[in-house]
Amino acid sequence: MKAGLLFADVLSTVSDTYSREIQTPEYGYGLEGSSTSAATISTAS
Amino acid sequence: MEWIARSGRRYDIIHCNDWQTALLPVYVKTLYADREPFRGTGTVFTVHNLGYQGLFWNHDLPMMGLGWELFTPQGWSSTGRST
Repeated sequence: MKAGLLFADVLSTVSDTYSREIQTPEYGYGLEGSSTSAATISTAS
Repeated sequence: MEWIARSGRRYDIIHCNDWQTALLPVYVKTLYADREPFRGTGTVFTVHNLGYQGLFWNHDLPMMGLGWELFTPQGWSSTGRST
């Protein structure tokens, strides 16, 4: 999972809310910092 | 990836979902970076559930054809496992 976060050009999640949640320790499962290193975070909805 | 390379087709975007397909963005930028069909190919990675990360023993890394230089905390090491 971390590999995808780091190497993809664009990240998306299933909702605006979830894109914010995975950047918190509670829902990031240790990867909360990894998604911020990619170029773009957008949402699928 | 190999099918794309041999098909003669080019793809603008490869859309990957969750850990099961998370290696594709890596391959596009490493093993296949110099292969003609992948020049200009972008990758989108959609996270559905970050709780399932697909953790593997780090010694599986060479089986994937990838080098140890990627296996760092800043890379994809996660507490000594690859994810």
